[in-house]
Amino acid sequence: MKKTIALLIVSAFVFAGCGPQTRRIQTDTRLAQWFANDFKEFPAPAVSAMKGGESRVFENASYDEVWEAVTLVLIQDGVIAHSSKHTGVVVGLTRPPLGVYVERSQGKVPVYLYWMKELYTAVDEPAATLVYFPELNTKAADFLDRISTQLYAGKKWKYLYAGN
Amino acid sequence: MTPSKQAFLCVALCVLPAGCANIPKAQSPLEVHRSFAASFEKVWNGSMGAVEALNGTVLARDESGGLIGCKIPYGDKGTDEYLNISIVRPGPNGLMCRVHVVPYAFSVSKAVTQIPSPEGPKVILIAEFDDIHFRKNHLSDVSNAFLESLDERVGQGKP
Repeated sequence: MKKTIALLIVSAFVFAGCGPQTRRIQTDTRLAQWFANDFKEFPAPAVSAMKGGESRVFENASYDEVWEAVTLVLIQDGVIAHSSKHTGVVVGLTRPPLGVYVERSQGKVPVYLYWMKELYTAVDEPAATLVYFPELNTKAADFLDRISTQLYAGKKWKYLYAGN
Repeated sequence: MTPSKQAFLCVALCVLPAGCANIPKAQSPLEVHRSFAASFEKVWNGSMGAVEALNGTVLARDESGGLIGCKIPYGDKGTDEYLNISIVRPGPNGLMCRVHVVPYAFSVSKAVTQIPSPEGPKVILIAEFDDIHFRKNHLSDVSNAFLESLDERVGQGKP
């Protein structure tokens, strides 16, 4: 009898909320906030952070040529939210948003990619990442390949692109 | 040469150039091009003027890089469309300034994710959030309106 009473009391506590809880929150991503603000004063990622990302060096090309190739590829993938040829940084709102840094250099021009995954963290729970992107390495390689094609195709096969 | 060899050669000669012509370039068929026999400055000013005339909001503007990212309202339902505008300067021997326009619509979708909470392994946090993503707009009236306005300001461009 005592055992039954104890069990009933414990059950009552559990049902009243002492058991494991599931919290349900309604929150925005930081990206959603920027979006609502029309990306006013949207900060570019730091160059030091961008230089830690995937990269490729493009040879036999000028900075201007690489910049043009990068921007023509990036405008295909997402709306441009920040761009400065002066600093070499351009950000496109791909998923996740992609920052690209083109480093000024003679003959060999390095291009660095930085996925801005931090924009998919919650505003109310900054430690909580809301979306995981498992295949970014493949996406980065594909993006760099497309820059390469854009950059070199017109040089290698000029007769195919006459007038472009 | 036997007829079968002749046929093989004929097919090879037809297929090879077709394959070469398909060397992928990054440009997308959704992109609209225009070439203008005008200076970069004139095309840049014309583009900014066209965005303003369409009551657009500029997200990113980079004159030296020739890039504009903007939001343009259309219709009467408070809907917006986004345009990327790239203006490529004429090359050393070129006279034409080339404009690329890529239109985007955007959609908001709901998603649910589960995150382990520091309070204990059995407790999970369920977050609902708005996930914004853009898609290229196949039928963009806004990019056509932009190009018409640009033509009026700079002179008729060539597709």
